[in-house]
Amino acid sequence: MSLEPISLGQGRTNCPGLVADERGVVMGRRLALLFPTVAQVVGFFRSYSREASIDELAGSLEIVDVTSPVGAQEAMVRFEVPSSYAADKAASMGRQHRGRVFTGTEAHYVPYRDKRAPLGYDVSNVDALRQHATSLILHTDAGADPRSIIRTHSLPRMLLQLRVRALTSAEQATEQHPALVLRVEPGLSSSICRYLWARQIRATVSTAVLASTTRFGGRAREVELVRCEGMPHHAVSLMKKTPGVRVFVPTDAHLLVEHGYRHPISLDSCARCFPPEQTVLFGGDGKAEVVSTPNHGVDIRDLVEVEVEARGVELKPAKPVDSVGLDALGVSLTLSRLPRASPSTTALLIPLDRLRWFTRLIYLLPAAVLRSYDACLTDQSIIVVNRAGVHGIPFGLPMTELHPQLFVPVGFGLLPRVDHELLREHLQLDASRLTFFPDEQPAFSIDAAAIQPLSRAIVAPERARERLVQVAMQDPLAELGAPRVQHKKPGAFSLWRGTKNLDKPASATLEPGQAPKQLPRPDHT
Amino acid sequence: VSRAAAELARFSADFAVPFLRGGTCAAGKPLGYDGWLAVRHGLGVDAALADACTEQVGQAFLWGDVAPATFDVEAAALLYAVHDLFCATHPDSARFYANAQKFCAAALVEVQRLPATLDAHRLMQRHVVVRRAFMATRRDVDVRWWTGSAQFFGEEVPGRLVKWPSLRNVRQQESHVPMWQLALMHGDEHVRMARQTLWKALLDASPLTRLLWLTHPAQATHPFSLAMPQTIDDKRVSVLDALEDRRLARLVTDAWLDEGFDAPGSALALALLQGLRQGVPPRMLRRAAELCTHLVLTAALVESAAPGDKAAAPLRDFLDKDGSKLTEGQRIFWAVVGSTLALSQRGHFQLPAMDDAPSVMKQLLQRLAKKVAQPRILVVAEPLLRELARRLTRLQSDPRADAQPTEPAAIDPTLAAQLDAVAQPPDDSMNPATTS
Repeated sequence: MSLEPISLGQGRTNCPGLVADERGVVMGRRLALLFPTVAQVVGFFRSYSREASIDELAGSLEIVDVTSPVGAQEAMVRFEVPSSYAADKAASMGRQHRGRVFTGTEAHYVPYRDKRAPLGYDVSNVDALRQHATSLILHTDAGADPRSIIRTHSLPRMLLQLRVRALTSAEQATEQHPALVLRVEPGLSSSICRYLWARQIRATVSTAVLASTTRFGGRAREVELVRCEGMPHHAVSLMKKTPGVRVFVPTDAHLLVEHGYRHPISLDSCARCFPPEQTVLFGGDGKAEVVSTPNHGVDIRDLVEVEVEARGVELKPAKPVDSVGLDALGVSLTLSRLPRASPSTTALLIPLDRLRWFTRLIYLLPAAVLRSYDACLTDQSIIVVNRAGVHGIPFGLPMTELHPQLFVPVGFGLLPRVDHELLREHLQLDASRLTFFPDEQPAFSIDAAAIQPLSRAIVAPERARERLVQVAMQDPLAELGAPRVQHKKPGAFSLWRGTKNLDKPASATLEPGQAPKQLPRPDHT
Repeated sequence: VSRAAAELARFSADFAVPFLRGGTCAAGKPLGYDGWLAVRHGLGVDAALADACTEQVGQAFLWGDVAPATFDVEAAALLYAVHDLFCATHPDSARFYANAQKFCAAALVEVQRLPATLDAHRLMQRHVVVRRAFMATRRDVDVRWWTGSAQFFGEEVPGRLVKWPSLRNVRQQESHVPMWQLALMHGDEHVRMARQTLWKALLDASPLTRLLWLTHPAQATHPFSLAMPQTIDDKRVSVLDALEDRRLARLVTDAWLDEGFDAPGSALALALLQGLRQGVPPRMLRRAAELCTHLVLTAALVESAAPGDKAAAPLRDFLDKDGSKLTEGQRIFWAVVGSTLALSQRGHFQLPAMDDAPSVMKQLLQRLAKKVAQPRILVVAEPLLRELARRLTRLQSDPRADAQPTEPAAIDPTLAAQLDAVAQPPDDSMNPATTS
């Protein structure tokens, strides 16, 4: 065994360049990660860039190909670590990618600490240290293992050579980009800027010079980089489909990845690998462009051309004409099927003859639906409302909330597309009522207060509703009607019983004002 | 106990609750004394019956400000009596083995046991029950078909008789007969007499009903009298004494003004004349005369405040139309009013001070004073004035005279002749001989 674990309180080590830090971990100034291939190196950087900043390693980072005395090639990453804490993080990630971790300062490297030696390793065979290393010597349990550096790699070059990964649809749906950069060919920039300006999208334009030259003239090629803020989704889709325009997502000020793709290495952790005057565009086709942006961006509002019709001609004073109100056009508001109308169902109009179905379906609905859905009963239909979406009821006319408290059938819209305030004013919509525009039926409105949770409607059954209706219909000030007497069959001897002791007619025995002292009682014997 | 509970449940569901609420109440098997023992304390036991009784409190507030007393044994006795009275109108009550008159007699005992009262709440409670007996009707159906006919008195028509109406040429004729009419005029003699006695006892037990429905035809066979048949503390009392309660006085005045006060006023004036003949205590005469005058003064006040109002129509008619068109009852009524106005000047009555009265009202009263001085009214008013002055002077000189029972006194012959003249002949519709 040429290695021995460092013991607690060990004062000196045989291997040069090893010192103990404040935790007692013996390690060198550098960490050397030895990987079988370069692919593992990339994997290591992918993991490390998500946990820490590669920019902190950039000063001492070396990516080299080494060869053993028998000719086997391996990839090695060497960098300086400030403490054992940073070394532990890098070592664990390196080991996850099948890397072997060594520490040292100059030529001699010993394995970094592990479970077997928590404080690190030292070389026990002092003779091994006397070998003259050509490049570096890795000390292992089997003895000294020299390595020779045959090639050096550059991290920026490696970053440029890596191919970006296409995002899945789920990842794209969660992507939120406050700013986007359009790479626009010079001839399209004015049209693009006018389009963005017309849609009130804030953007700045800068001219970038490509590192490559034109094929024919040998001149430096230029592209326009338009940095947009708050670009709507449909505009992004339109730009991506436009030839000559490519949409990039800025991960850093000068590192751009094409929209819908992602670089395997987190570029924001290695932004200082590229000079700030250069902008790198990682394209979805696997090609990366490096452009230089010498000038600052110009706001597109300053670039939009203003055309004056009467250029060079003296402008005449405006001629007053009679104005006519727009209401004179007589445009009627219509409910029409629109291809891009909102597809979400937020209300259902169920015909009243489906009430039996609806009550049966209630037994199948989950508790969350009963709790979150609101419903009310009108003389024509059952109305179910849930702003978060109505699901699970397979019948009824689906409605969507076109404007607050204004419902139209799904797929329909009101034409012309006037805004809500104007609609409210024009149709005299009440804020306390829900208005429905069913297809091929007259519009109606209900009191918003009448809608109550479906669960409450269930536990307050029709019986309670009938009682309420009865109370409402019965006028408390109305006088009760006259009683109507209906004779029933009294039975054969019913008029014969009960008063057998009253033999004498009462009219003969009882004078007014002379109540009998002793009431005659029937003979129960 | 279970039989009593079943009896109470049957009585409540079949009769009492629909009777109080205005539905179809069944009257078949009478309760009898045994049934009365089962239901006498049942108004607060049966939930539906208790609700129906509570509902009557709200109904009572539709007419006046007096809340009826709690529906207790007294109300139960009235309900029991009404039930057995209605059962006694059953078409089968005339069968040879039936003893409907005995049930009426048993119910009569219970009604006559009710103590006489002048308590406003108690009077209202009894009126609430008895007035519904006045309102009750029976549906009689006369069914004729191609081969025969049948009559059903308060009974459901069998479905087989009305099947295929077009093929069998079925015709039905319905009539709704008031129960008071059936009770007083239909059936065999001995049963009818028992029913009439019971009906009179019901009216006597509810003097407020008598007073409010003074002109109801059901009272024709038992005319209203100033003195109630019962006594309170051995003292003859009148239902007019209950008008000391202002709420009851307002209730009666409003009802009569709404009905047209000359009709009940005429009946009251006739009762006053009859009271003179019967020698009722002067206090009752005074109250009757005051009530008649109060009606006229109120009508004058109404006319001054709302000219043309329906409540003052009899006053306008009297002032504007020819006096010869007055009926005998109206003539006596206005004679009572004229006598009261004349006696008020002698200090026998204290009319409201006219200083604050509206000018229109003053003019109306001046016209009234001239109108009652016409000879046709004066013929009655002068002897009436003398009689009233004599009785009321006696009351003023000796207040204890009112408490002492008085013997029937001879009245002025002119008044007696008037009283005999206005005694109305029995109405043909009320004559049992013509309706049986």
